Amino acid sequence: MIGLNGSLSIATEALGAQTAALEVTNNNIANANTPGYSRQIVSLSSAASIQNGTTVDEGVSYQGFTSVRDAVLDMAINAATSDQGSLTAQNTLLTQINSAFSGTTTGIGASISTLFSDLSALSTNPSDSSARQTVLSDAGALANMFHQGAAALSNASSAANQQVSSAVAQVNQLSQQIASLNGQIVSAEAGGGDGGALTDQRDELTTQLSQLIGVSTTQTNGTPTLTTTNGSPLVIGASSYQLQVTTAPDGTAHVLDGQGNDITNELSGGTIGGAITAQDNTIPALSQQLDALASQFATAMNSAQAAGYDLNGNPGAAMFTVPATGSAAAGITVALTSGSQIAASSDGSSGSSGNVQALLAVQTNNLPSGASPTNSYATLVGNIGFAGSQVSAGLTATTSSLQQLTTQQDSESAVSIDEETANLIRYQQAYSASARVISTINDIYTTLMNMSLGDG
Amino acid sequence: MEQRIGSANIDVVATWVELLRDLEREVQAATSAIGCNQLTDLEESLWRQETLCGRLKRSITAICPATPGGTSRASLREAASRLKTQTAIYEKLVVHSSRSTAILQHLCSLYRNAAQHPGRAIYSSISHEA
Repeated sequence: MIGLNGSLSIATEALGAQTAALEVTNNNIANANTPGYSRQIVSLSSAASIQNGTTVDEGVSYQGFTSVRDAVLDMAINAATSDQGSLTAQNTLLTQINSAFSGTTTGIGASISTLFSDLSALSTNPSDSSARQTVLSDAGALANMFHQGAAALSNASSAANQQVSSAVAQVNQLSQQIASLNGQIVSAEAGGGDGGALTDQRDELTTQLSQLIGVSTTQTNGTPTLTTTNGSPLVIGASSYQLQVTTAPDGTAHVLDGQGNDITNELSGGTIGGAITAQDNTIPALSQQLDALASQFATAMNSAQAAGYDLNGNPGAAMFTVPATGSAAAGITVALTSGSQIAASSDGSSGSSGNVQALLAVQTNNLPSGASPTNSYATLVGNIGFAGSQVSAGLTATTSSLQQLTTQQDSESAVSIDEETANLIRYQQAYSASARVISTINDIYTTLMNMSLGDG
Repeated sequence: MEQRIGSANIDVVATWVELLRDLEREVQAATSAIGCNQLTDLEESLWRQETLCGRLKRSITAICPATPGGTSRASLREAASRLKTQTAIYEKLVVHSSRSTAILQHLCSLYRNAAQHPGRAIYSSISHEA
């Protein structure tokens, strides 16, 4: 059995260790609602020494405290956050594009229908200049709709560029902050201080970084390293590496790593990954379809015009002009300057409407793309909607998954006031019981003293 | 007239001494358990302390007023003194811990109220401090 000094030593150690433990509990309670705060637990160990071959109990030793974290769960959350950032960026852009193409009473589809409807009306009175002017106006309106569609895609591309530039600036700022925190954590831990709160801040910033760009987290000789998904360094220990943005000749934003290498095509995840996917894949594919429709429709209408004669008996001139290079949808214009130039006649007489049928046939005949103009446009709109719904469904699933992961993390790392309160009540009950036992022991001692133990 | 413990009662005194030493060990164990925040260990030790106290109290009450003499008296005094000293340390630790726990319970209560009725919690906190 240990002596009095040993007991006092144990109690002193116990008081110190317990005070530290209570401070940690206090800290946990105070930070119960702090985003990213990880519950801390005290590391205590039994202190003992061996004297003359016998193990002597020397009480408890305070070893410090650790934050409750699950590294695998953190990585899963960062990956899901990165996916969410990517899908959110794509969803924003596709919603913007969809709103420009989804109209049923306006837009390219409606304009095509109006043009052919008015052409059909012209067939009943081919010499009516008013009806001819209406068709010409319809052609102009259709060209304008193509311009608006091309502009919507161009605007979405610009927005994607802007998202990339803005996100890269934020990535650089966060990388600097994370590197700075890494330095502070090393200093704090080297001095035996509290690195837990700083680590929480760093983890929170890393999650914010994941929202912007896909990141990989590794530890190299104890030094935390953050890289992009292609391995370009963002943070190594207390050093950060800045990304840059340049604009390519085609107007798209390109991302360069710290060494100036173009890593645009190798990036994935986060706002940057999503914006690049939209900028390099989704929007160009839609633009190509729209340009093909504009070009093929113009060619078909021009061919039908060429087969007939205008009101003055001249061979039908081209109705539309499309630029030789660049976007057909953005550059399509009406070549005719007068309604009289519409080649309604099949024989050169003003009363003939024989060629109107040829013009009307463009509406139902397949273009080189394999579908009629109306169906081609419907396919384009369908593709936009499909891409949007896919991204939207992915976003919903990812958000749900992220919520589950966050809930799981909270259950492991977050502070539960109920749990802390329940523990405190148990402690308080135990201390009350201790007080009762102490009172009984004192009574026993008094009784023994009264039995004249104390007189000798 | 003072009653001396006879030879038959020497065994009783030895039992008391053993019980006092067991109790001292349990008090030490409880002290360590509080220091280590090992609540379950503390609760188990408390149960054993209560059992030992009960046995000791019943035994003393049954034989009292008996006075041991000689060697028995010395060993009993030593065991009682050690227990008294150990208990004094234990008592200070329990008082300290109990106060700390009460403060934390108050903090928890404030936090819970703040989450439900922020304005009221701040008001009652100020009133309490006042």
